[in-house]
Amino acid sequence: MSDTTLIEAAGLHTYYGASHVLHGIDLTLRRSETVALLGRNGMGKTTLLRSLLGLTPPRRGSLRIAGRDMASARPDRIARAGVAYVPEGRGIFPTLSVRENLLLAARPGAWNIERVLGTFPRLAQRLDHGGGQISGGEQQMLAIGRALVTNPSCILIDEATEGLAPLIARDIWATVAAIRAAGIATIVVDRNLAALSAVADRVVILAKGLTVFAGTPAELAAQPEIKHRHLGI
Amino acid sequence: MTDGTIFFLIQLLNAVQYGLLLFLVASGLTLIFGIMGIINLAHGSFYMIGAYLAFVFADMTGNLWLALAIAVPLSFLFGLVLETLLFRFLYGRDHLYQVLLTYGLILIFEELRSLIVGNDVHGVPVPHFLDFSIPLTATLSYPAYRLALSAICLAVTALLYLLIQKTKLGMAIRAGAFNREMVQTLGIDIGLIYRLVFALGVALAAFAGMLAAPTTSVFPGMGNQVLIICFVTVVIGGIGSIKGAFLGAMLIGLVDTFGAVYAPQFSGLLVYALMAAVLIWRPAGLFGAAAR
Repeated sequence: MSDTTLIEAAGLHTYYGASHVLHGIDLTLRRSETVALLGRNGMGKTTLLRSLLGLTPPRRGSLRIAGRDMASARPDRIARAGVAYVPEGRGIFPTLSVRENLLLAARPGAWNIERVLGTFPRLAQRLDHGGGQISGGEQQMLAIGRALVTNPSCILIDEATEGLAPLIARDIWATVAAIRAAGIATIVVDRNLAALSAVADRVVILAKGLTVFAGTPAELAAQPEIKHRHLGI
Repeated sequence: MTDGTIFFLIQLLNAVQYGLLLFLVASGLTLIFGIMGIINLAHGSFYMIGAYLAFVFADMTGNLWLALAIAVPLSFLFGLVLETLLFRFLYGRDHLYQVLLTYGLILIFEELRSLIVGNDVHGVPVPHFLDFSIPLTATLSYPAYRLALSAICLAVTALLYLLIQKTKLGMAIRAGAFNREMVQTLGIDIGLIYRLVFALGVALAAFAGMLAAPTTSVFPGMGNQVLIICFVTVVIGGIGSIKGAFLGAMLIGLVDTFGAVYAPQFSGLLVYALMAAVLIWRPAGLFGAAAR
């Protein structure tokens, strides 16, 4: 394993109770790279992210993060190893103010709260609002900002633009590009293949808990039958 | 001021003092319930244990303040041990397991109390420099210790407010009550947060027992009365809400104290009538999740 590898998962089998969701997935995330994770609903995208985060630990398979075995590590240990999460639904704490959502997450590093507010000026005007009082777009900015102030080496973003107005979604894609430019690796789940192809170094498609495609956006574009079969495009 | 007004003021002081003491016990119960989802029937036992610790150490050292200085850290430590050995296995379990274990703990604590200090009623002397009454009229006066007790409770309440509202630990506590997983993925050890919250709850209940010991005497089963009224407080305030527990405790203090004076034939009933009225008005309690 080279020292540029952040996450190296091999043969992940993950279950929800008796239901077998991931059937032996391999996934590698290298430093500073953006990976688009695609697939229809219920194919295991969120479960894969949760497995990498330790929230739904895999029953079999290996998971190494920053070179250390994390297959059965607690989520907080994986987080401290540099993996941040922007969950579907954003996971903003509504009983905390915007400022407190950031303060709670902050760990020392280049990304401090001021830098996040520079990236998302709209949050600066909402600092004292409750996390539940701001708009969906602002919540997504806050969720990404909260991930950034943990100073991670990678961020896993689930449903990056779901339910957001097109203009706000464009802001989020610009942010994903900015995160990439800042050298932070990402795994992004979204439905918008065009937007994902523009920012992603690689594309991974899941179907029924297995990887059915892994390659560059250009390689995917050259295989319309895969897009048609697994993405319905 | 007439004697009637002074009498009213004395009752008001009593109500506030009772309410504040009740809040110290109920705050831990509501935190443990709201954040970890645990119904802790043994919470009243911590109040009892606090009172007995005050009795034992005050007897040993001859000084209530010294007794507090030993007993408060001891009860916090006791909470940490109890959480590590027993309570952490209850998270996410059915309430039946929680009720069975914590009811069992009540019996064990009472039995241990009986073995170690016996079944006699004990008194704890009021600290010497507070052992006087402030004369208000020719016939009415107010004990200085009760005033000091209220002041101490107020100070602890203020500290608790600062802890929960202004510190990172407090933010993690409030966030963890809402979304445990998200707190973990921020790199925070939620197990440690739970352990600290539990120990804090134990220490607060025990501290209330210690402070109350000189005013009520120390007797077997004293935790059980407190437990029931604490649950009433938490239900009135809304499960998990510290603010609600404070308001609920104050309301109960007022209703119970003035009820005993002006409607003594109903005094045992009034707090439950209060609870029923609040629940009809707001089914989730004053600051319950559904009413937020």
